[in-house]
Amino acid sequence: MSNNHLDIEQQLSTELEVIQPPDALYQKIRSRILKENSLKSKKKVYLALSFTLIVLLIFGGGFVSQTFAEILKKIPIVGVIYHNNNSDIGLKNAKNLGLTENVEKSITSNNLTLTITQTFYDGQNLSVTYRLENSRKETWNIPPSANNGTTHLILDMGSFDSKINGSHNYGGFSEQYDIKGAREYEGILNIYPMDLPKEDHFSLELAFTEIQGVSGNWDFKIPISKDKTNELGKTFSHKYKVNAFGGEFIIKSISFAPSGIGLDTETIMDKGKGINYYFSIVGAGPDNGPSGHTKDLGNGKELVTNHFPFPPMKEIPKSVTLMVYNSKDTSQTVKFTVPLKEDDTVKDSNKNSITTLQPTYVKVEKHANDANKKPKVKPGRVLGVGKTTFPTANGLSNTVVIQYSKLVGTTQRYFDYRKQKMKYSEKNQVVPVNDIDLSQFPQLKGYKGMLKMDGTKTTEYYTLKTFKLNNEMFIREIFIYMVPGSTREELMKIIDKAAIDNLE
Amino acid sequence: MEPIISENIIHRLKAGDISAFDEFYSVTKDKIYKTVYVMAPNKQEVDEIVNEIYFQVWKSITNYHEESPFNYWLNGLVFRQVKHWRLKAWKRRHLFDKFLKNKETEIENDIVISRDEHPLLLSIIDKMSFKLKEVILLYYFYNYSQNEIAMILNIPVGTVKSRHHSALNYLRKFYKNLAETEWEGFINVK
Repeated sequence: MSNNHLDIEQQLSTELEVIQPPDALYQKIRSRILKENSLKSKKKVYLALSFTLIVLLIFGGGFVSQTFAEILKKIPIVGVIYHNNNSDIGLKNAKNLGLTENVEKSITSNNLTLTITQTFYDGQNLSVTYRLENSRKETWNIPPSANNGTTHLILDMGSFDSKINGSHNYGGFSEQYDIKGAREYEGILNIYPMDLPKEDHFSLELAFTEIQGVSGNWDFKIPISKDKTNELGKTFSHKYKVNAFGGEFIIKSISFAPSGIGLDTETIMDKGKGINYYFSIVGAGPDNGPSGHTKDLGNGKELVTNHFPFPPMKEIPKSVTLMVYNSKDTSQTVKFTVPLKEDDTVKDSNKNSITTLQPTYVKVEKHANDANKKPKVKPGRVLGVGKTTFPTANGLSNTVVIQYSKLVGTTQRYFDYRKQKMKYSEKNQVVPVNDIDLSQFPQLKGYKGMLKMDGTKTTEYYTLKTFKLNNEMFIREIFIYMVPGSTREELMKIIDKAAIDNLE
Repeated sequence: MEPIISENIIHRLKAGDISAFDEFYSVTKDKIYKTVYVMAPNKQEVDEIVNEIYFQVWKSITNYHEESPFNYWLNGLVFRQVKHWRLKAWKRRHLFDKFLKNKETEIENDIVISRDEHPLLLSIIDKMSFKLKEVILLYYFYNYSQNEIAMILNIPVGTVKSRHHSALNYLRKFYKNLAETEWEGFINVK
């Protein structure tokens, strides 16, 4: 085949040769069908489903925590209040405890009636519950399926816009719902703004223009109030400061609410460095995805303002131990204890005073074998490492998929590939790549990619998915395809090169 | 080559025989999976789309009446499902895109080039519009005639021709020596 000559049919068939359905897929399909059959046979009147999916996160002028996968893993904050067994508070409990505000506002458009029934707001999380009634001729014949793992959301699947106090709300949304009958759905829309308002009362506007494929106008303006939850929450606003790693780390406030904890911090460091430092509360569990802003202070310094949401604690402790760590090098970690005094909960108390604490440097132990097992990239950047095998003309081939990310959109935008050539020696011994420690990447998914095969000759390459945001290059995924004959050392070299070339 | 689905399988499928479904899956899986792989804008969703397609086949097989070839019915369903998925994906992206529009300064626009400098056809097809992709696949992967494509996609044959022409023009940007005669003289093997 000459370089520019192409037989489309043959080329297509060659390139598609390696694309094969995974073995596990059929089991999924089959069990879905069997489940459908059993549902039919039992003549269930309705199918109750509830399922959460973050539909989108919109990135504002600030920055969002390091990886979306991590956010996705953590973000169903409201899951804590509504579904999570770790919490004593469920939706019904929240209602029974009188933590929700009744709304009952209905709008009918094109025979679809949407009623906002209740709101919940405690300073950390904001949710509205709804009821949707379909009086149209057609029923929705695709009941949203939790099995499918897809985004069959009732409200969120359509198009809608939201505002807080009249300003466009940048942030994420998720939805959980139950099917109450053939024509009735009930659900919760959870709203995760980049910045929650400071006020205890504000207006939330939700404007839906499409619901389940039906166009219309369902415009709500709902008052949101923290009155019902105010008593249960406390905000400690005395400032504490530690000096470490050549910067200042300031705790502005810690807020405890029924649905979560909010930690507001400031970091003053050399420009570009502060955003790498994260805060955690010992014993509170992983954060739910911080958000923040940066401000240039001049003199090469930068102020980073962060908000870290955490899951709730059952009781407000007398003190909390906080950790500050470099997300790119966790060996840089300090901890210190902040007392939570009742006096500091009064608004504007001691607002200008600041207490300096002495941090303890934490030694992070590294496993001796790590260097051999894991790709040598900086911590916090690897999203996942995956492997798939597929048959080739001359045996089995390994595909290694390395996903790196500084920032990943939830919306699965597809970005273009870039080819980087690599040197490759065919003499090397075949070493399978399954000795990479995959257990540390639970969110991993294997991908199949394109691998050009030409008879017995194989070609390896890696592809990148990148995009630019605010003039900064982000890497969404790096695909690395390996073929028989590659050693693990080579693989590691390629991974390192990919990481260094493209992330540095 | 089209997978051959016997009448026996179709009848048993209609009767709800799961073993017929097993047979049906094993003969069709490669073709369908590859088709979805090419058509899906997001390769991560291929498994989910294929899952949905087979589920829909199972649910709606009784709608197939034997006046037209089964493969036409099946392929129509496959392409419709991918299209349906794509629209849903678009809706999901809508808000996000609206916001990013002003922020995103540039999207990398390189093409995957293999070692011997031959552009990978799949990566180029991936950049084509959905409508052009459909025609390319049905013509070169399924070996359907333009008339048959028109029937499967339920569009006029003139439209198929013009889409085919546009797709080839698109490919020509990357393959300079792609001669017109090469596919116009292509004999359709059915």
